[in-house]
This record gives sequence, C-alpha cells and structure tokens, in this order.
Amino acid sequence: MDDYLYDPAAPPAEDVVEIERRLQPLRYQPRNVVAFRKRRRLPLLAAAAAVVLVLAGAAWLWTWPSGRSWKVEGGPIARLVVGETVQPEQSMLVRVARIGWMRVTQNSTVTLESTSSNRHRLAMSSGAIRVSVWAPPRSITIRTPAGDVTDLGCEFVVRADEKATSVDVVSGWVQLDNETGDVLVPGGAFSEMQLGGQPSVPVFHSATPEFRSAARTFDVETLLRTARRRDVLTLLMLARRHPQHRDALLVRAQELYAPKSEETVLRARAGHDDAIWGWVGDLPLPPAKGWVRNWRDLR
Amino acid sequence: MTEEALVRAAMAGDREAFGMLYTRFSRAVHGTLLVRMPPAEAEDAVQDVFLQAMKRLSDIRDPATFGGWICSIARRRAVDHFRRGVRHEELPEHVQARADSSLRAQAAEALAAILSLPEAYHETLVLRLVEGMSGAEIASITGLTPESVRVNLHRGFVLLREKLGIGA
Repeated sequence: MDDYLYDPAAPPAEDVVEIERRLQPLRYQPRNVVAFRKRRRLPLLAAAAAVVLVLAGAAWLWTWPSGRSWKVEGGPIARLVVGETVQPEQSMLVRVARIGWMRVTQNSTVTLESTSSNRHRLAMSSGAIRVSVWAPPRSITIRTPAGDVTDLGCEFVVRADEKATSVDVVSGWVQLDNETGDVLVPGGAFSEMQLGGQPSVPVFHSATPEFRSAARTFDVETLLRTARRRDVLTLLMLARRHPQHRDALLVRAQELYAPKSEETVLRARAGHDDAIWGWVGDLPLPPAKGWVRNWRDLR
Repeated sequence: MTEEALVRAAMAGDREAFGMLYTRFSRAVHGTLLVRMPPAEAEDAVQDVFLQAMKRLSDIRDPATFGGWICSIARRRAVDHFRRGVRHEELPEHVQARADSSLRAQAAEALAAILSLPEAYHETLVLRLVEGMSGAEIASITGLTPESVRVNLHRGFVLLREKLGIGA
C-alpha cells in the first residue's frame, strides 16, 4: 500500500485505488484558458518565422534601459523622470519609451514609477490619460487608487480619482484588477472599478443605455430584454458572477450568439467555468495575445 | 523543457511557456485550493491564481521554485476567499447542492472525510488522491521533506480508510 500511496507509478493498491476512484470527479482537468490560448491559423513554421522576423525587427523598439525617463512632446517639461510626479497645466504628449505614446490631460496627477525593457509602471491618482502601446502584453501598468490597469497590447483611456477608475478600451484588451478580483476588457468595451469593489464586467459602448444601466445595477429582467448580439460577452461574464441567475443569462446568450458546440452550453449551464471561457473564445473578439494584429493606430 | 526554463521563458514574455506552466501546475494549484474552498469556487480560482502569477512573474527569485511559489499564491487566494465571508463548513452542502450525479456526491463525501481529519493531512491527501500527484511532487511544492509527505500520507490514509469504511 505504502509504495503506491507515495508513488502512483508503483503497482496499485486496491484500497487506494478505490478512494481515488471516488474522488475522481473532483480532479482538475487543465484546459485551454482564453488568455493563454494558442492560435493555430498559420502553419507552425510560417508562424515561427513570422514571429522571429517581428521580434528581430522590433527588439530595438522594446529595449529600454531600466530607470530611463520618457520624452515629453508638446508639454511644459522636456522629460518625465522616474520618481517624479507631474500635474500639467495643459495636456501633454509623452513618448512611452519606444513602444507608443500617452496623452496626459490637463491637471492629471501622474507619477512615473519605473521603466525597463519589459515593464513600465505609472501611477495616476487623478485625471485621465490615453495610452497607445505597441508591445507584448503587460508592457505598461497604471496604478490608480481603485486598482491596476494593465495593457494586453492595445490603446485605451483611463480616468481615475480617489474613489473610482474607469477604462475605455479602443483596441486590443486591457486587464483591470485589484484585491477583489480582475476582469479582461476587449476593444470597444469599458469597465469601472470603485475603491474596494470588484471591477465591473465589460460592457460594449454599442450597448443600449438601458442595457448599460442594467449591467451596472444587475437588473436581470432588463438585461435579458435589452441584450443584443454584441452584449453576449457581458451576459457570459455576469453568468459567472451570479450563479443564481446563470441559467437565464446563458439561455439568452445562446439565443443571441450560440457557441460552436451545444455541449458548451450544457456544460456552461451546469456551472463549468471552462465552458463559459470556451464560449467567450467563440465570440468574434480580438485574441488576447494577438497584440500585433490588434494594433490599428500606431503613429 | 524544465520548470526553470519554462519560468525563464515566461518571464521573458513567452505566453506559450506560461501556458505550459499552467498545464503542469494547475492540478497542484487546484488541490491547494480544494482543501480551503468549495470545489466549484476552487475551479474558478485556479485561473485567478495563474493570472496573478503571470502579473507577478518578475517577483520570482529562483525560477526552479515556481511550483511552491504559485501554490503559496493559491493559499493566499484561499485566505482572501475566506476573509470575504465564505465559511469552509459549507463545503459538503455546497457540493451536494450542485451534485448532478451520484458520482459527484460520492466524491463530495470522500472529500468531506479528508477534510474532517487533522489539518496536517489535508493537503497531502488531496494532492495525492484527488490530483494524482506523487509524494515527491507533493514534497517539492509544499516544502515538506519527502519522508514527511510519506508519513502524512500513510497516517492520513489509515484514518481516511477507517472513516470511509474501506477495508485494509
């Protein structure tokens, strides 16, 4: 018994096998999570060659000495220095290392916390900034009082004050997270987080005002009545958060945008989170790791 | 690829490497969560833990210790869950409420039996009997010596067998 109990490769012991059999339904099955999913649209070699070429060409763009300041264009100062807090009297355009730019609006309070080739960190206690970066995901994080905002290869606008943060994503994906949870927001959608509160599920700007309001207050009846095809992501994310309304939300989601497999619906309705993520993967959304193709606005 | 090589690649931004780390360590994370949270929530929390880990990859000092590091994130995630007011004692009812088959109910009963044993046995028994990890793997992520894992497994299993009424 001891050997098999310690080493599952040893000859099985009957009583251990019996208990393993009983516990089997609880065993975790690693799955393809949307955020880590590999896309296989190109033949492997062609994809690898393309990646090598892109990386080689872009290596210089992404290299940035740790702690080096950012150049400011059209603003009251020449450079944004690490550790320095600025509150410009007029909006200013800042070059984000070599990977993009950032427009800081008038009277925003911004501190450049750190810079390096892999990661740039910024804090904004109040105000608004628009960020465009062309780099691997998580190249820039903006810390706000209500939580962190991290790029997943994209363009987005962050507004913050001491109590709340809102993010409008123009292209790509953005992650909002704080101590209560996190959320991934695709281009065209927005999310908000209050101080101490969970980031809201993503809602598309194209949603009707009624739907947007219902998503904020979680008015299920209105959500179900006013949801349109583009709102399925919101319904799916709400279904994850509100198991007691999961069935109604998923039935409506299926009417609007059924996943490729009926089994996905059945498993999602049975509470399998991986099925909901599989469903999200079937939606016409930008891929989380396809930041190169997400980029539309490099300038 | 070795654990260390995968971690180094992931730290350099290689998402596929991170995906491989997920595949390799998600069961250890799930087992760590399962002794502290209801099963349905543990399943959800696995991804949260990996997303947190992805964000904090640069914090790892020794890439060879990724397994232990991510399981410590899982433990903190479970503590946060606990602080938010979900009581551990709700586990068996919760599982039974969503049980859609007798197999699942039987699994819930066996898990409840493990969790009724002294706490020292919970993690080693769940990682071994639920997630199918070997004693050596359990030792590497829990920080226990292989001999301590062996002792915990043996003593815990004797008690568990008795609880479940399974003969030696």
